[in-house]
Amino acid sequence: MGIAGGISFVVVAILAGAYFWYATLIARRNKVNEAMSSVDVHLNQRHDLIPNIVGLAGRFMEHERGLLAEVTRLREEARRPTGSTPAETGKRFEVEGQLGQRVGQLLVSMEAYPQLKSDRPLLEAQQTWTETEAQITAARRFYNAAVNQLNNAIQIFPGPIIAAIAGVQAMPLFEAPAAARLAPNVDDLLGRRP
Amino acid sequence: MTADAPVETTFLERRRRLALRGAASALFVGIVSFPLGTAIGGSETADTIGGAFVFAGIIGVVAAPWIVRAWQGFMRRRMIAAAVAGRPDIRHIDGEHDRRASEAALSSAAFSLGAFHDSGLVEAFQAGTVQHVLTGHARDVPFAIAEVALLDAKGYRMFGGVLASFRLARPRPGLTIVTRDHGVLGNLLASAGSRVERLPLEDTDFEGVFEVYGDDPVGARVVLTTTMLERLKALDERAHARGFACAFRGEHLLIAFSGMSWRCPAWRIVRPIDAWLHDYAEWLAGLVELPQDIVRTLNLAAPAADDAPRYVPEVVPAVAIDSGPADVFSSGLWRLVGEGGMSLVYVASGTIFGGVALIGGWYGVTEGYSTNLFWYFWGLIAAGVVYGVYALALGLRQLAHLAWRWNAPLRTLNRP
Repeated sequence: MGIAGGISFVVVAILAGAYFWYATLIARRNKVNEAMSSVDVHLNQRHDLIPNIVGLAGRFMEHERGLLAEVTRLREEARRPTGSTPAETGKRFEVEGQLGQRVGQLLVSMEAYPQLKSDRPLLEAQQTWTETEAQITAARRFYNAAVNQLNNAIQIFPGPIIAAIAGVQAMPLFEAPAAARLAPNVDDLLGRRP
Repeated sequence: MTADAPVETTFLERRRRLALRGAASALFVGIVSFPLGTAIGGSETADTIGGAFVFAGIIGVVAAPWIVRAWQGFMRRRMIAAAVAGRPDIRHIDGEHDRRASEAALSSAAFSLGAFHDSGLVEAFQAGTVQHVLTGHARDVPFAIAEVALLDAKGYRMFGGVLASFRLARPRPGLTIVTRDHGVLGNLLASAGSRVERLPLEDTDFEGVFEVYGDDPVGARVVLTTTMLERLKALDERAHARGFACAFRGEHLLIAFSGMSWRCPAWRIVRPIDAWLHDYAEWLAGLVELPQDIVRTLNLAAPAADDAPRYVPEVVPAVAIDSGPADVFSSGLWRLVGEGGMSLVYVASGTIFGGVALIGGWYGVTEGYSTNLFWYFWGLIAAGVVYGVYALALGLRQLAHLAWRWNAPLRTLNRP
């Protein structure tokens, strides 16, 4: 095998490697899309539960009107169709995070209302909410695992070059809102000020 | 079912000595009789006596390990009975003597041997033999744990060890398998061609020990919460079982401890009971406590929510259950000899006949055959080449098939 043969071998090897990397990127992007659709299914379940919870709670929680209105507003915002670019996805996750946090506050606030604690439909709604949250957590972990693999393939050389040619972008992780990482303040959760 | 049985050390020591003497005598007969039998001869009477010695030697060689094995079985039976004595929550079934009860225990709500089919924990099997079963309730969770051997249609052992099954209060849809980590290449080979996909999880310590596969990425993560990952790691440390693997499947948590045996090691027959009985009894007590440990550590007793989606249980195939140990000729070595040996014969035969035919063909092309034998030789050469190619292809195909199925439970989960 002469020099020409050697060069041909190297070129073929590089092309095969590049194609393998490209195929990996596309497969991982599709996996992210699959994970995203799982997240969507469970987030939609959560959205469908919110009017029920707000309606049931609103009968008794006169002093929490602001919180109920905020939950309703965030739900409407979260349901609004958005694009699938990393920036739009990141923004959407932020809204979903805030929504989850506000509904969490609402459920904690209900503890202060004895009538609500014995209201069967509301208790059932709370139970369904807890189940749905567990599903969302699982779907979020699936999404984050898929995104982690995609981002690794994009950021490790020659990933950046091939990703730029293929038009594959790094995706944001579905993270808990910054406030959720702090130790909870009971007074804040109950809307009280010391 | 075995009744309460306190351990009588003196009696066990007497049995050990008796078994040791019997095994040693049989071995002595085996060693001495062969050379004696072959040395004696010359007349009809001497030949008869020599033959009797050789025959006695064969019996001795077979009897020695059999006596040790029987002693191990006796010790296991007595010690398990002693370990469960006074425990109303757990029942011991001696599968070697009570086939009906062991069949019932392994076809119950807690344990169905058929559920291990397509579980990704064991290779494909047709039947099972049961030695001992422990069954009962741990914190209201029905369970059964059994020492079994699973056999394929040809009678070869596909799995030898301990299987456990727990009826879950909270059914889990889909199939989630937690197996040992075999490294990057090992994991790829283990799951090649399987319908379950590898599921990366966020706990690096867990990922260093286990590998998770499943057919529902979200459902698997609902089961394997970060808390559950911690619990599984804790259980692995408590069980001290390197072969530990489990699967969440519908209403059951299935666990396999490959290679685990409840027998005491054979070499202990040469040591006095006092030197090791305490350790063995403690190990068995830990085994009896294992179901409680598993339920507590994995929090399996958590009740299902009232409004949880209704789960439709899947129908699992019935499996023929036999009692007692599996046939001696069913081990992995015999499977290798039985299945691989014939394939190698095909390969060798194809290579020899095909090779000779090719050499004959080469001679015919370069030197030529005489006219009157021309068609005779070329006919033989053609037949040799056809046979060689066929035998070689058949042998290689069978070898590849054996290698593909060998110790690969995940590959039994075929793609649809």
